[in-house]
Amino acid sequence: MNDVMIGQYIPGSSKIHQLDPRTKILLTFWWIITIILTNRLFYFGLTALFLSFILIGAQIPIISIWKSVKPVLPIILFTSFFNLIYTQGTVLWSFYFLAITQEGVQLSLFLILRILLIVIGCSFLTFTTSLTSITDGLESLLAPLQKLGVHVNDVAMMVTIAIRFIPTLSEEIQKIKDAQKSRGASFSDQKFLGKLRGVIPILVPLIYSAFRRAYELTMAIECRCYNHEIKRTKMNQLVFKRNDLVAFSFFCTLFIVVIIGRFN
Amino acid sequence: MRNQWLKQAIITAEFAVFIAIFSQFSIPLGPIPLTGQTFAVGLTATILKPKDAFQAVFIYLLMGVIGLPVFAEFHSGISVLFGATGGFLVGFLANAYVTSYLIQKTKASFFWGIFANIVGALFTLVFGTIWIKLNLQLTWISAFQTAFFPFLLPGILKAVFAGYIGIILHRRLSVAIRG
Repeated sequence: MNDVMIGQYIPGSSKIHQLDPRTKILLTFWWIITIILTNRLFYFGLTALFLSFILIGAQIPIISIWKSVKPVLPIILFTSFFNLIYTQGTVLWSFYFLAITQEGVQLSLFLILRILLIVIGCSFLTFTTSLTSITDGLESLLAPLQKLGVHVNDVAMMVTIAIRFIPTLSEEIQKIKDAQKSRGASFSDQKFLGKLRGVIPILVPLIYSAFRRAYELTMAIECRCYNHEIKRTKMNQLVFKRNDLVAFSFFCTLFIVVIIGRFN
Repeated sequence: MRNQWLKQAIITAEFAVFIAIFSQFSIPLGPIPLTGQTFAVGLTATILKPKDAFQAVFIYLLMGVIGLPVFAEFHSGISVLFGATGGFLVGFLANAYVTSYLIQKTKASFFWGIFANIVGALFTLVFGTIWIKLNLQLTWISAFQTAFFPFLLPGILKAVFAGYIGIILHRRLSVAIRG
């Protein structure tokens, strides 16, 4: 868990890396809507071409793209297979009770393309934007919720604290485990209940120290006069630039083309 | 302490990290591995108050969305949340709130702890099933066959474990939890 701090971010200086995080978050959602609305093979090809330009532009290695696609492959193939054999329609090929229909082939193919394009498209956000930038972007985009009583700043602060604590807590689990082992705790009990009870000597000190740490950190923050109710300023202000406008217009064009294709 | 809110916020963040860390572990219990994710969500809900438990799961999901590999098997990103199995993750939010609410409204006994966790686990499964139905355009029957029935028994078993261990921790750490 100690290596997870950087997330999926691949540092770079491309135009896509330089886009405002808010632009990238909004475009990711727009991308999902565009792909859901796409319903012809030609337009799937067009969106795939568009996506490949983005990935080449952002200089994202193929291995990283493969890593993001790999986990969803089994479920896509599984469902496509069932769609292939269960969809009714014009029979293309049959074998005893199995019949593959034209509609089945189309449905499966579109499902595969749709999920792959969404997964790859969404991962471009996390590939090209650092954790801090995404947190800042989300905080700024969700700021209107503040009027509804949702404390967006507090959520952003909790995420920051959580990210900071990932290495601390995973190290602590290891330390507690070693400490309990040195006191004779056995984690290799073969019995069902024994195995289950084995987690208690780890969890009790772990959760106790979580509460103690929270107490200490609160004291430290209070000593620095932290007040969560006042408006906070930022060192790096987010500003929309010309690049963001260009990116929006590209996505807008693609969206219009897909919509025209869908209803024509 | 003056700022009780701040302390709760930090504890919530710490529990979000617990869920993230436990998501990568599984305790092999015969044929059904006790995956840490469901277990940690149940445990969080048993120990924290409803609002805090909900927030802890929310922060956990947010960490995954912004790209930290905190979901099971070190996955992350918006695509996991909007993918076929994203419903289970969203269902954790309902699970955490409902479980914690039931425990708060009843006695924190073994029976109620386990009962609340089972109800919470059912919420996760129902959310997951509805999501997979809409996402993969399945029929209700095949959605339930894919996402509900295979996970029902393991889900209930995990809920029983989480409830049992959660209540033990709740009793041993009652002074610390009450602050």
